[in-house]
Amino acid sequence: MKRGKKKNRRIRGKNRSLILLSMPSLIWYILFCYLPVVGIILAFKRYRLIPGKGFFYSLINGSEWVGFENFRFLFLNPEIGKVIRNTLLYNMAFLILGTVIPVMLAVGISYIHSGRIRRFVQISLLLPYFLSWIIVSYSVYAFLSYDRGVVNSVLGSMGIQGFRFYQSPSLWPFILCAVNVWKSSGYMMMLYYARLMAIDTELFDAAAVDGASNFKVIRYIILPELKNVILVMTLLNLGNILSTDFGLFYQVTRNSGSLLSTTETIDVFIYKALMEKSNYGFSAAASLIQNGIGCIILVTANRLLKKNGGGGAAL
Amino acid sequence: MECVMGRSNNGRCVLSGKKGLRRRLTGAFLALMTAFLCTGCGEKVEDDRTGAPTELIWWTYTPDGNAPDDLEKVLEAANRISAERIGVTVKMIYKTTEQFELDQTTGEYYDMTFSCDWCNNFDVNAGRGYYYDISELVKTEAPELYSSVDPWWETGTLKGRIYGVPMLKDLGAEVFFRLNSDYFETEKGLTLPEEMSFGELEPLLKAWKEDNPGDYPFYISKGGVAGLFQVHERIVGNYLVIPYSKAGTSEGTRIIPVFDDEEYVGMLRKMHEWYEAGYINPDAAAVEEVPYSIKCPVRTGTAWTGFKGWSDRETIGFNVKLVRFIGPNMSRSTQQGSLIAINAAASEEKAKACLKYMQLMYTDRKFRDTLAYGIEGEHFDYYKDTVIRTAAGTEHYMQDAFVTGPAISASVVSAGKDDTADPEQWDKVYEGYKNARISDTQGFSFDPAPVEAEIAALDAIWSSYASELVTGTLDTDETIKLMRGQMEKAGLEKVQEEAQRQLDEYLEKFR
Repeated sequence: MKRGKKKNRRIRGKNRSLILLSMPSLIWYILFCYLPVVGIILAFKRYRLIPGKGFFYSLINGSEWVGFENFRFLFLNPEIGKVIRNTLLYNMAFLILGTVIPVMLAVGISYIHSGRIRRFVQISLLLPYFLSWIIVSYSVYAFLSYDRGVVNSVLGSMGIQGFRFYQSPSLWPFILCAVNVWKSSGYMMMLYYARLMAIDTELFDAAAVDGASNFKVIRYIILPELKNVILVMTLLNLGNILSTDFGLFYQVTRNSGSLLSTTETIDVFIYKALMEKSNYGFSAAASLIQNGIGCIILVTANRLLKKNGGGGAAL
Repeated sequence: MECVMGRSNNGRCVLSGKKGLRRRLTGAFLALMTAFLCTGCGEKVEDDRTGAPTELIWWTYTPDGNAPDDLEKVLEAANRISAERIGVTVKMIYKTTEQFELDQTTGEYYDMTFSCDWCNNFDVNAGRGYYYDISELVKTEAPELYSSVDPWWETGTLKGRIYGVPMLKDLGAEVFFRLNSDYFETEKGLTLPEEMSFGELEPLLKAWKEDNPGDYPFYISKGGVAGLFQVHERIVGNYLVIPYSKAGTSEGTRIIPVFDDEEYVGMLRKMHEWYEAGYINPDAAAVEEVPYSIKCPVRTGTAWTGFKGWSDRETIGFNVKLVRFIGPNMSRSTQQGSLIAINAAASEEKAKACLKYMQLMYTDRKFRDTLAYGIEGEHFDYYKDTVIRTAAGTEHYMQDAFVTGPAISASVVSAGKDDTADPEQWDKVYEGYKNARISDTQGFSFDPAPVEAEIAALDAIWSSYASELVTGTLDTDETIKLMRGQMEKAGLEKVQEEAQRQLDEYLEKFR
């Protein structure tokens, strides 16, 4: 009896410390992820401020319900089909490139024996991740500018007529993919590399004893060990399938109109439609669509994974 | 404040209690929620203590998000004057266009605010009831203010009620070339007239290009030629307009797509020709701004006759001459360059204090100059009845005059001791408006509410192609065809009809 009571108290103590430990992030989630969900009603209202009252009061008491009116502007754009196509295709490309290249890099780096060179490569791959899109935009511009860009002056010195990059839409899917890979793969590579380092070294020793080639080690040890991380990362990215990095598609292309047919994504369109207005109803409607569909896809994919053996199901 | 404290105490108590986790979380959630709601509505104005001056919160505009370095010092000097004269002091808060939008929407408190046609939109906000109706109050509480602004009150009036005090400055749009007179006049021996047409710039560009083949005489950014659109009155966005060239004719009240304004499109076609000829920088559509370090011989901008503000030789690197090529054209939007409106949520006492303060701006030149130019002897000096900024003034207290009040009640600025401005400048500017092309729309303002979704879609299309159209990068007619096609699919005609309907209805009362 006495012992049981003691045990019980100990568990409770343990729970308490765990709860305390998770409090900061719990509070963060409540403040920034759950509380704003109430704002969804903004998507179905025409917001009007009541002078002298706060945002919530005006939203609840002063704003009329308008049903799906706020969603209409999205579908008035005659190019919306192209915009959705661009968004999906870019996200697919990033999903594939953003997995294959970082995994290759991580595996490659793990084969570098000199610690110093390895650290140098890691850091130089990671650096672009910390640059802001504005800086990236200007760097890209320094390369591609028509009259002062590096690329055109090199071409010019070889006697080749320069390109008007910012007026040539067909080049941009490649440019944007390259820029995105350059900027983000260092970071993803670190995730995979960390998982790689956690693989039991006995496996490698056994492989070496059996005389397995590098290719076989990668195929039969490394990739199966990385599989779950890859699946989780893919799953999480699926949730953002309708959202794109605004900085990449708006800043790096310098909002050049000629490029739109291949570079305009949903976020860019929304920004351009709403940037000069304080129409929060429209913005709320747009992000509700983006995130709502993303959420459905995420949950569905997770379910499918669970059904097929469960490896990597995140939820 | 009290309720926030109470709730968080409660929250802590719930957390340390022995109830279930779910209940604790709900408690925390509720506490946070209440805290949010309370901070939202908790910004009550404190009642004035007797004797102490009333402090007003005044929102004004900044293009880049920064207040001038020496604001605190200058405001202290200005507050000393206003406290002594009318028992009012101000606290100025500088906001960008986006900050105005957000803070208006969330109901942040202010007493008086900058408002105009292109930022913190006057007609929209007044229409929503955000601003104090001062129709009677201004006549009884600030009669001198009323007579100073007269006959321009229509600018701050919506549906017959006055909601804002016009901060009078240039009211018509006049657009100028700012040309390198050292090069064109001294070196080339040309005479630059007071006024020329847009096309007459061509020989000047050509001459420069021949002398400097690697350079671009007309260096512009993605916004195109500043002020070029001032040949028409914008009714909806940048794309539904009434050309001033039609003023006084039967088409003076007919709203048309911007693509049908022949005067404007003609200038755009010229731009494309110049782009192809290498007069315009090839990357114009991708450039954000043209810094002074680029010594281009031609720049443009909106100003007024006699303006000396862009003529400082030391900043620019050469002597310049302003040559007008558009205007003066006048409409409600050009007149609404600067107003101050009072918060509808302000108490009557505060509203009176605001009006008294604005009256002081209009009637006391020393006070007005302090707000506009800083402290005499430190930021500026008087010279021949005009103001010359000192280096410290240019560096640490530089902003457009309209940001701090009416321009016409401040002293005018000279470029330097050898290049003084006419102290009677404003009389002449206003005299010049007698020859202005004045829009027939009688102060009409469009209410976008019925077609908001269409306007959002149209704005997106416009902003997609605008920079390549207005910089001449792409062929003018092909781009217009493309834009028109897309915009028609997005509902351009529907918006045009709605705007025309509203305008016709509005004009009924003048018949």
